[in-house]
Amino acid sequence: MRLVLEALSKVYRDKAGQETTALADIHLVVEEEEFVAIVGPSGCGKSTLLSIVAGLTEATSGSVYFDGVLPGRTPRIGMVFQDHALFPWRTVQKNVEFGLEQVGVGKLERARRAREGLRKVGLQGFEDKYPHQLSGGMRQRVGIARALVIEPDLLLMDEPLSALDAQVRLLMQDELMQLWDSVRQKTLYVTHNIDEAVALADRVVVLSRRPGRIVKVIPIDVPRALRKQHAHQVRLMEYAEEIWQTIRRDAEAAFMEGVEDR
Amino acid sequence: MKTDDVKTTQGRNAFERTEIHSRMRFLEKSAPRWIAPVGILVILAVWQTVTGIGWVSEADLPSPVAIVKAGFEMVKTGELWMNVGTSLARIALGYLLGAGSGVILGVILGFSRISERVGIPVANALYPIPKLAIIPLIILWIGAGELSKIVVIAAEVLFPVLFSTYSAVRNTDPSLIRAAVAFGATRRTVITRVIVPAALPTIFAGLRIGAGLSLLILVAAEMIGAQHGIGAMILQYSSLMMTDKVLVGVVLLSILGLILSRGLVQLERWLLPWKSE
Ligand SMILES: Nc1ncnc2c1ncn2[C@@H]1O[C@H](COP(=O)(O)OP(=O)(O)O)[C@@H](O)[C@H]1O
Ligand SMILES: [Mg+2]
Repeated sequence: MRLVLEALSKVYRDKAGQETTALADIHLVVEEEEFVAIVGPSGCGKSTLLSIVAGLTEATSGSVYFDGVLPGRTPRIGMVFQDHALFPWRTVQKNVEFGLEQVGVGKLERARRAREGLRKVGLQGFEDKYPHQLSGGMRQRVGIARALVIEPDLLLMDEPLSALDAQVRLLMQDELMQLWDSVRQKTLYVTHNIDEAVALADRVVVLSRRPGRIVKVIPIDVPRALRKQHAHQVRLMEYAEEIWQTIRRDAEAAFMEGVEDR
Repeated sequence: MKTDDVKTTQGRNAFERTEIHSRMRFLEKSAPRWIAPVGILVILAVWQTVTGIGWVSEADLPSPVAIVKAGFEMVKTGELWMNVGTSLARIALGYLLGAGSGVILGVILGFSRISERVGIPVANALYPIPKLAIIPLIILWIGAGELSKIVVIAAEVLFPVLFSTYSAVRNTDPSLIRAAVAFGATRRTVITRVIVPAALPTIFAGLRIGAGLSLLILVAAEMIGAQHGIGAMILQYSSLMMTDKVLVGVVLLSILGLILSRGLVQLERWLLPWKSE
């Protein structure tokens, strides 16, 4: 099964009739067991793209579909949000169970799988806590567990580490890498952090500033397992440099625009 | 500053040390737990003395002991329980009816754009009407029976609950709704599992306001047209100038109000464990 985005475009229309083209003509295929990162300057439509794939926003034109689905199977999508979007009235355990409830998993099985998921992200013992009792990093681990326990066919992550401070962020990045290796579900990962994209992804898709178009797709040809090794650091830095050069002009223009706005 | 530094400077008698303490301490007002009951006892004692030695005539302000005596008397004749029971039934039914419909209407108005367009102007127009003013109208429509009192109380409770529910539903964090939908929640699940639980804390604020109002309107309604109930009892004894029995009614109302707000706090703790520590 693979995910196909075909000629995807999105135009936002505000009340005054003003149009903003957020995405233009996006073609992308995400294969089985592939981790694709999407980078681009802020406002280039990364979140919009993920939102369309998640079925939370209607595309203006083009289509998104799963190809090669077994008959009778509904592909599942798990999503991780930047602001974690945990339900504050649910305990950690019940938050992780939410997706399982929606797909109709029985009570006992739900509890068992949620506990298992929480163990995987290192949160055993925190089942009965409420989200507000956890640190930012722990909350996001709950968010990741909630997405993973439903055994999704597609994992969507919208800047999952962006709200964390720098140290926690690096730790979580490593953790995410190991977790992902144990599940290997195809993934669309949005970030504005180039190093993060290079550390995690099989391919990095670079979007241009408004309207968001794909300007480059860069395969990271270093096996994920070896990326922590010293010998490969230079190669990874070269990838990061290549990506940075691609989006640099866009980013500068976006920055200046922001300055003028003020 | 190290100690030997201090010694040397002290030797030369040059510098002093200035320690820094929290300047916020005046905000940390802590009071022992026994202070509340003791305070009340002191007030009662003063009250008892003042009326007992005749500074204030017992006819104007009966002493606490006299009020308790009058209360026992009324328990013996059975009128106290009868009146309290009548009032309790009215307020319980009226409150449940008003709060229940307030929550349901609030959720509907908050969730459906069409009913919002129609319902909110109507609610805005009805809300400011003092419900006391429509008691005669309600009696005209449905008679002076129990139902009229229940309806008036419900009408009073309805609006604060409705408006707080409505605004809570309107302001549900959209990212939580998106998260629920992303994980496959249907419209119905979004309402019951996201919007309502997210709105509960604000709904409780409306329920608390409604509780205070319901007591007020209960007494007013019972004074306007009822044979029984605490309000009717107070009115009856005050026209007989029996201040001690009037005060029994007043004390009962105070207790009823306390129970009502305590009950809500307890219910809130039970329903919103994630809000309390
Ligand atoms: N609901 C919306 N209505 C109107 N414009 C929107 C909406 N959501 C996003 N946009 C606009 O679309 C563009 C892309 O936004 P977004 O997808 O959030 O970018 P990113 O996630 O890359 O920062 C931005 O210019 C933003 O202002
Ligand atoms: Mg974004």
